Amino acid sequence: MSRPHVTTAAELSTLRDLEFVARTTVEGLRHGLHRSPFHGYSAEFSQYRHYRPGDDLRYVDWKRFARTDRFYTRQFRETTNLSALFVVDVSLSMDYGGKFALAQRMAAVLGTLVLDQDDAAGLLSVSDTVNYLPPRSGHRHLTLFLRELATRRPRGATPFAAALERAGLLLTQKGLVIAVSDFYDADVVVALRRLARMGHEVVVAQALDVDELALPELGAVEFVDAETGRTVVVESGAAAPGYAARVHAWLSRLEADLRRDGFDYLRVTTGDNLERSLRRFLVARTGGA
Amino acid sequence: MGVTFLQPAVWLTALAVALPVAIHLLTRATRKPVTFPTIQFLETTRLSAAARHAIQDRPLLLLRVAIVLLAVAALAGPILVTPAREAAWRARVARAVVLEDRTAAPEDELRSAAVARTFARLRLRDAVADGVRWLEQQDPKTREIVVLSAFRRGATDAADFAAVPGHVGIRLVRTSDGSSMREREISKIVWREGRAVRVLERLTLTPDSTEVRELEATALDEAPVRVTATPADQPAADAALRAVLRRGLRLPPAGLLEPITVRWPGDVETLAKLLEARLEAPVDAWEPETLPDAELASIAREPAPQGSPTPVDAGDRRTFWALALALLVAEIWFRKGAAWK
Repeated sequence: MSRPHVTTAAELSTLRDLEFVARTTVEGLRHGLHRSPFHGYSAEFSQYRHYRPGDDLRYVDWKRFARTDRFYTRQFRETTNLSALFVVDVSLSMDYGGKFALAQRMAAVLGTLVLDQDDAAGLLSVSDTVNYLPPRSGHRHLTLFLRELATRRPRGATPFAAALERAGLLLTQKGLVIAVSDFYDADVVVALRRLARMGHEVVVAQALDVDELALPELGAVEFVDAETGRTVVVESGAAAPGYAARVHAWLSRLEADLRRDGFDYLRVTTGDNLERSLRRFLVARTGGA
Repeated sequence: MGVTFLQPAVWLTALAVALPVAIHLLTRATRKPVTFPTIQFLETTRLSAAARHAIQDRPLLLLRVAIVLLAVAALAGPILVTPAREAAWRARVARAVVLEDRTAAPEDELRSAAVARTFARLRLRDAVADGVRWLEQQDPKTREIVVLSAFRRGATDAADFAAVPGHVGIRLVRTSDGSSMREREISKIVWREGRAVRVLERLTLTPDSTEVRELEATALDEAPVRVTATPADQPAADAALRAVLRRGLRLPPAGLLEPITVRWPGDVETLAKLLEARLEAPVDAWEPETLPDAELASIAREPAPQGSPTPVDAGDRRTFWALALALLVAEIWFRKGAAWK
């Protein structure tokens, strides 16, 4: 595992940009959210006690209320902090247009949200080297988290599934895994299921460039696969309808698979408003609160 | 080993090679490959005409240029000149076999030549002339005229071969010694259909028979023989001359150089003898019967090869077409492979 020791001017610019986006977006999101979209896990249910004003309504047992006509609050033996690991895809397929920057911003905003509520956030990216920032909490760690995120650059063609498998090995306790990728790797759903079976909560955040949904008009052109280097020559105008149909069919299939497995799924493109997309996702995640 | 072309002007069409090269360079300059996150959702589409010509890599360009060049070379009539082929070409012979009589030519004379044909006419010199004309129409190759004859004196002589071009070889093959047969050509003046006619006859004498064959007849404006008489006897003298000519009056071998005038002797038989005495050549002048070997050797000569050694072989053209076709198949395979890789 390697850690960058020198921050370049470009990385510093990216860091400032990420900090600004994270701060402004998180502020905007806080106004729309009544409670945290992420919360910790209880180790074990302990007992009921009578409801007292001020108790969190989330812990009121409404079924018991229906049976006894009295309010009871559930109590837990121990409550842990949330430990969130952001697994960011740094393969070369992410290096197109503003796609990787979008992935960085998504991770920065969600990481800031997690760290702001005193939970822990870490960062993992796997290319030809493994870059891992273990989950920690605190404001100092937020700066470190954003700096680490700013230094990540797409390179290599390591499958994203490998990064998810590495995440499963690194996480020693149950936590939240937020996978940020374009999800072109065919094995990624299997890797996500494996994480879920290990007890982790999985959030799928897909970042795409608008060109990937609708092929741009370039005339007859040779496309080179960013990761495999394979080429195909197409007349983009003629190929666009078929391409769009195949991409949308794939996205529908992917979303259906992820939702069937109970994963929260967020898709953002470079043409979308990031704050609006995140708000919609987080509101849905908190049950419409 | 070298390559020559029957129609080198066709190589001007090789300028067509410039087309794919120009398209290649132009498209390369204006269009760069686009790196895309994934091409798994892209399928090769039917390209426009311009895009189809957009050669993406150098091997494909070289392949296409080679195809065009081979096709042009095939159209230009390629000839691969190998030493073996050149030697074989030089050994090719076009042979005109001249026969004195109607007997068939020996098989080996015909088989050993690339092209061969037999010629037989009543007069050997006519058959030789026919043979020379035919030889001149053949493709450039060694030409030879072979005369199969007894070479009897009178039937042929060196003058018959004077018109044979120098590069045409002459081979004279004596078929018999001529002792069993004699042959003469006789010129006569006869009276036919009210006018004097010069007639050339061949007289063939064998132990069993005598054959007279008329070779040609030329009408004369006036008889080359005149009989003078007194005005009273002139009609009788003219009638007697016509009677003598009807029987035929033989001319000397050299022909009749000047008209002959005799005095009217008084009767037809005496007139006939008088004229024959003036005209007929001595029989002894026709001997010996055949031309000597030394004279034949002076006529014979080796053939000289003509033209540049261009052994035309249609197989060469087919070879070039086959190569072009093979490269075309390779090009299609290459292109499809590149599109689907």
